[in-house]
Amino acid sequence: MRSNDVTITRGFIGQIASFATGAGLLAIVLAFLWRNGIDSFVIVSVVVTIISLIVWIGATPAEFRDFVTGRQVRYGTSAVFSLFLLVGIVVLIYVIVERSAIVVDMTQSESFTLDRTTIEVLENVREPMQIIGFYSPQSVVQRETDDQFFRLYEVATDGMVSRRYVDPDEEPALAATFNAQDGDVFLAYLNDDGGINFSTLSFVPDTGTQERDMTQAISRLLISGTITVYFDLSLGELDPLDNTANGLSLVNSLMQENGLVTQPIGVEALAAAGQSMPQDASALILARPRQQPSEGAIAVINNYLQNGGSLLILADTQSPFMIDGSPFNAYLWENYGLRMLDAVVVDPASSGETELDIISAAIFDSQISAGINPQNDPDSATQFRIARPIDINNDPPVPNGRIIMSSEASYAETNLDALFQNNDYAPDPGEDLPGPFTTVAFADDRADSGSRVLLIGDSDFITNGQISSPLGNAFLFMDGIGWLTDFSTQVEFTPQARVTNIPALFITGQQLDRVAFITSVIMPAIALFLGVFVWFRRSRR
Amino acid sequence: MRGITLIFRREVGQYFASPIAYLIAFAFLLMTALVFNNDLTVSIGVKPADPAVIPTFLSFGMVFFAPLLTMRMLAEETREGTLELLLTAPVREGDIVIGKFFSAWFFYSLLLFITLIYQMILLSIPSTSLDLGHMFAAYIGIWLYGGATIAVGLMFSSTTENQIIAAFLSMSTLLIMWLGDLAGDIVSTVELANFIRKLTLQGHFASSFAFGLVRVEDAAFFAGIITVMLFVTIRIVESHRWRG
Repeated sequence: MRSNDVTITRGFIGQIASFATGAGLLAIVLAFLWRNGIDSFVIVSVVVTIISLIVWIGATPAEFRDFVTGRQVRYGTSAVFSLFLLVGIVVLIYVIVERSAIVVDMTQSESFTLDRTTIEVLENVREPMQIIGFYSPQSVVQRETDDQFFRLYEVATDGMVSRRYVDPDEEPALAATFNAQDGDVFLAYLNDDGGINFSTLSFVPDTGTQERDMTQAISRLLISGTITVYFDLSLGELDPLDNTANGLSLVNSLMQENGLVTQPIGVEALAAAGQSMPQDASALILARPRQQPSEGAIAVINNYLQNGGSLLILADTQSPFMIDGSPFNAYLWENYGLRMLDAVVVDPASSGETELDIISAAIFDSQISAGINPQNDPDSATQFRIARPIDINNDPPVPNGRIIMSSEASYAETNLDALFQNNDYAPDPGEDLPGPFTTVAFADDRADSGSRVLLIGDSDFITNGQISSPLGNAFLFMDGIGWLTDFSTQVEFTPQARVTNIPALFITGQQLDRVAFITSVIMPAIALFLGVFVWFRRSRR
Repeated sequence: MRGITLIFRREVGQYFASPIAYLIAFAFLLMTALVFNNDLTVSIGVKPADPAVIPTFLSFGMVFFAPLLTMRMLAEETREGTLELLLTAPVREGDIVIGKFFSAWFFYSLLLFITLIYQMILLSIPSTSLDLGHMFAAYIGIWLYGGATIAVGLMFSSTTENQIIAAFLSMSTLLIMWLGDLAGDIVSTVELANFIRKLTLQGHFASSFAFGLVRVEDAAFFAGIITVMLFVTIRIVESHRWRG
């Protein structure tokens, strides 16, 4: 009976050393090609090869002599050359196949195939843009996973969307220019010289839905600079550059990050100068005006709306803007069937810390409320602190409607002096108004003048201190801007995400036990039984 | 071709006549069953069952199973002197190597095919569903992957007459080829890490086949490994004729 004991012989050492010599020679060639010259890798490979060679000669000198002089040279050299030739052919085929990027997506949900919507977006790419990904050596797997998607964009656009990867550890200065972390991805147009146009640089957020993230980023870049939103500042409104808790710098940045251009403007100044709103105005925002607009300013706004403009009004109670009987309130009622009421909504059933912090109770399906879904995500609700009710004309001059309402239990406190001076509010059946109340409403005259109006009975919710508290506030604002400017229809489509549409596994405990028994016991036992049977039969021969 | 068929039949016959092959099958099925059932348990009510769970496990498991399947194939023939006898028979060295390779790949394919029963059992249960396309892609991938690992194992089996050394060398090599995902942790440049990953088995399975994606370049990689390894093995076996 033969033994399987391992015996270390000179021959064995010589054999291992000969392998090491061959491997060392290969390493020298690869290192030389890889490093494009002689460096430490090549030198280490040379040293290892020489040591292996010495060991080989020392351990089995006769074999080595035969190798270099005998027929082994003839056959061996031929074998090595033919091997190199074969490896060369295999590598060549692999490189050709790799460059052809032939990929078959076999997933049921076609998770790795660009959606039709994405293809339509990519058809609009006319200038070269680049996806710039920052990946360190530790993120090489992530890079490969992402690259599979990015490559699809490059192929679909015939190279108009290209890819570039940067190692933030190797190029820290470049990473700092982008303010990039490991794994961050950016998108930008390229200049004529192939350099990055930094003025168009945009961050591609990673929400775990790769195709949607990238396609939306490309869409934002495509429309970048084509949509301009003006913040009026002539009526004492909130300042989009103010970065205090009561400022609007966060929403201003949010809009700019989405490719929108934001500009300040003064409608009163325009009226005084006899000018109109700029032609490029996609929307005008009146964020908490503190005074009533003049007749001239109303005329400027009316002219803008009649020419297809869009208007967002965020109206609070503590100012004379849109008080009952004011000209602008009357203007909106007559032309759009919307007006503000002089009251504050109190909602005992759907509110935050106090009954004045009202949380969206009824939400009507609309593009404006698309992001608000408190049933599935409580943080997507909106919260208004001291909100003003909106009255809606049921026989409106243009189509209008409700977006958000308070609960059935709400009422509108009309004694504003008592409320603001003494924090005194209570339902007074004779004086206060019974709910529910509309707090967000719209009017849509696209069929005629093309104008759109979005009226919200609160302005605090978009201030820096409250825009993300809860997140629904930001959703309402951005979806509202999206509706007013048509930005949403251009960007907020939903190309498929890399998520499976197969439902979660549902299996009872009994079924699980049965599956476990069949697979873990029966099947291996059959193999074991057959093995024992074969052994038994062989042993009886 | 006739030579290949003859060797293939002989080797397959030896597999089914050997209790060791059944023991390997027993261990293979037991481990895959445990992995499959574990995935079912953690998936209930959370996510669909992972159609690639068995292939993903085997991408590591084959580092050990492939050498077990191949270690005796040429090493034992060399040790017992039957390889010399075989070389005097009217079959070429290529027939011997390719026939042995296909027999090991066939046995592996059979084991892999048996694990499809797990998926069939799952599909037979009402209220469960499976991404069949994803599953088939993963199985195609691990089948090619297995072929490459077997070719590597066979090559090492031809280099020595000791089965244990053959198994050890192939396991070490396959482990290094499997560890490609960690390349980024040991090198300083991302391009080198990517280059190393492209040379590894995991780099051509974990980000493609395991996700339900069939990339022709990955199939070409595995086919290339098989071709080169078989060529080297044939040359090594051939060297028995002219080595001193």
